[in-house]
Amino acid sequence: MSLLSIFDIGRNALFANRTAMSVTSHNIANVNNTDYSRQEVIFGTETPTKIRDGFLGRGTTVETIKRSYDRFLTDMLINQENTLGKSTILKNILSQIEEVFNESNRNGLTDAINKFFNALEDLSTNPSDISKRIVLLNVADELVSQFKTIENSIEDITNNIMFEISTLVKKLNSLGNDLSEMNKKIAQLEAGGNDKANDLRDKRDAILKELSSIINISYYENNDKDLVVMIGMRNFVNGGAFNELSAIPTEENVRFMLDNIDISNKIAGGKLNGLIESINFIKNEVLYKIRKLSAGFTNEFNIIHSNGYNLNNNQGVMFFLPISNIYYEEHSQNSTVTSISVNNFTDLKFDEYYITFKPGNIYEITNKYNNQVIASGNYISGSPIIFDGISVTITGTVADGDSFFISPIKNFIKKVGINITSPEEISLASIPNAPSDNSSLLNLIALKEKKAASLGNKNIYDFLNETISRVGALSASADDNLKFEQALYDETANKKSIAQGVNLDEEAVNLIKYQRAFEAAAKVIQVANELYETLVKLV
Amino acid sequence: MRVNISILYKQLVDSIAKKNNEIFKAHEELSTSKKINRPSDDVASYSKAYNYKIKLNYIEQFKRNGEYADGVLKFLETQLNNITDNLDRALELSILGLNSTEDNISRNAIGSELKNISDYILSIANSKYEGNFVFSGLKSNTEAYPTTTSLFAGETGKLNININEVSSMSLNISGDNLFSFKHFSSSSLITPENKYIYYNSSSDGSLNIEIRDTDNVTVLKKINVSNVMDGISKLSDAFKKNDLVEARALSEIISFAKQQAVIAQTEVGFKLSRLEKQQQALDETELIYSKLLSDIQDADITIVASEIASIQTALEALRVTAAKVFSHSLLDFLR
Repeated sequence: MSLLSIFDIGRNALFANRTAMSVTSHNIANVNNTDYSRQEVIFGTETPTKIRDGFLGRGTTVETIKRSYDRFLTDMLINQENTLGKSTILKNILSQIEEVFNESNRNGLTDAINKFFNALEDLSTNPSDISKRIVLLNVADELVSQFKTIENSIEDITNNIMFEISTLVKKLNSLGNDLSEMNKKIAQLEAGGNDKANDLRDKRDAILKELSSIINISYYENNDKDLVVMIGMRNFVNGGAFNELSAIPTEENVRFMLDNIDISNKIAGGKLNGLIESINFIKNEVLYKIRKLSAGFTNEFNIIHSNGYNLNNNQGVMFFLPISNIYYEEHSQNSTVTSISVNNFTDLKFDEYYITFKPGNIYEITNKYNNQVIASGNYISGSPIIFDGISVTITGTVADGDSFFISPIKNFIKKVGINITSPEEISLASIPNAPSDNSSLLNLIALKEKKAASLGNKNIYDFLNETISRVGALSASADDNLKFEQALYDETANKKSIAQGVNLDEEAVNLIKYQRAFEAAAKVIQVANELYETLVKLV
Repeated sequence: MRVNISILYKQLVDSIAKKNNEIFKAHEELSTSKKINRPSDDVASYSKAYNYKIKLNYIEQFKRNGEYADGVLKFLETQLNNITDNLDRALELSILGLNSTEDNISRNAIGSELKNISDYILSIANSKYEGNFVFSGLKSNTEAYPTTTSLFAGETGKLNININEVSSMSLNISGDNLFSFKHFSSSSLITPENKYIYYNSSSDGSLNIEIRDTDNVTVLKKINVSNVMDGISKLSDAFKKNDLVEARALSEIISFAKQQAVIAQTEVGFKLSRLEKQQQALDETELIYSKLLSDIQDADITIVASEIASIQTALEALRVTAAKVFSHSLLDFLR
């Protein structure tokens, strides 16, 4: 047994405790890092040597630095990031949409409609009064401009959403890149040994969390080192390789491609899903309803108005600019729309339609919103197809699966305006040469209560009230959802912090512990030194 | 549970944020005086409030319509009173003139006054209210009777206005109901001189008077009267030339005209009283809906103010305790 071994033991103790103090200070430094998992030093003994009297220990050593990691809580939190991300987006967007229609503290569309009908009623007491006619023209202008303002505001929201989608996709791809780089680094550092690259793993988990908030992912660790992340069953990150997600905007919405496969219908959570669902809601409900309302109402008004006589004794004058420029999309190789127009204003229902072609040159016209087939027949190139007041002529050869999308309402609000230039042109009488006849005007006024077929058999006010209430209800429930998700998330985050986080008091105690042990080890060396001196003096 | 300091920090931040949120909501209620500031605050109530506001707008509009109607009808009432007053005087004069004790000179004077009355009634028939000829029916831009001898030049028809959600009221009186003869039933009479007089209204609103001799066969004269004013004017001529038979024949017109005017007056009077009741009913309904709306959407200031006070207290307590908890950790105490 050599005296020098005591020096070794002392030295080992010093190193071990100094390492422990480093780890403790590392913990303390990262006390506010939410992605950090607490590290602790695992001490072990050095291999003992055999001496004549038995096995002599050779001091301590640091076996490994362990990261306190709760797999279950981390996975749960990553999942919740996903739902929280979606709920946050939905709440934000729905409250923006709600604000567009909110007339609690300002005058909006309902007020404009009220003023319009009030002007009509005022005119009914004295239909030939020019100043009252001018008032009507003014409030009609306001009404038209309200429709345009609302459509604009909603389209602004849609544009912001599209921009947000492209930004998020860029972020997603950059995170994917970071993740693959992180995989490489971890693989490098951990190669050959059993030790874990703790800090890098923490960072990798943080990237994973952020990814999950954007889109729904599934992930697993293979070979104990590489993290594989999949989106929509396709590989996003696989070890050091990653595939880019691309987002291609189409007319209807956005198409997502990963690894050359369309995964648009696999996106089920996260901010991206929130954004996509919002766009769908806006296009298929909000914009649809507002456009239907403006087109349907102005059309009914025009029909009655053009039956009346004006102060110039003319009939057939439209009050609002009637529908023109019916929007259409062609999805066909060899055929195209050669003409499209309104065939009968009274028959217009103001929905959106698909004309699809089946084998044998049969066409089918489907209403986009209730999926009902409203007409079908044999296709003859160049021959007009008439349905719901619209006449479409398609020319060319069609193939099975070709389709055309027809919307009389899509561009309506952008093009609408007042067709009347002078107050005498307003037609309020049912008979010519009778300037005080207001009987046609009374029919116009009756429109405010009339349940219109194009509005689902509701009158204007009920239709608008319902639309606004629906947006309000969705916004309220999105708000509730968010509060709930946030509470859940906070719960889980707290649990994770309890399991993995740094407790300053605990670390303070550890610091003292290791410091004292360090001092004791130093003392051991000092004693060994004195022993050695004593021995040397003997000789 | 290993609760560590970062959890406590987070909890503090979240709690303060929650309280701030509550204060924000309460402030909003104070500044707008409303409980509901967007549909999502309370969807069912917002929807109800929406409907109440629409109703209130209707009521206001109907009140406006009613006020206009009141103006028009009162004007008509005044004009009708003028007409009946003048017709009364015309009747007086014609009775006087037919009295055999009168002589030519006084009949001349009677004739002159009757002419004046005819002209005056003509001007009333063509009177205007807010730029419209009130007795011309739907052709309010033309005179009802451009000259004393013209037929009705307006357009018979009703100008209806809405006075409430379910009913309307017509505001005009078509001149031909007052001054033309379409409601004059065919009849005949015998004068004191034993002459026969036959009355027949024609489809164009004029009156055909046939005077026959005592044998009831020989037609002495045929007179075509275009309208009431024309009748009085011809009556004035008859008195001036001392033709009592003609005068007798024409004086029937005055009683007829008076009848028509009284009918119109009754109608107008009835409409005016109906309007008054209508306006009262609208006022009451307005009150009801206003109250309903206010109950749903108005914020109770006292409640909101006390809410704010209690939130402030909670916030202060949070801040004070947090300050105490976070001021020390073990590291402060270790040497």
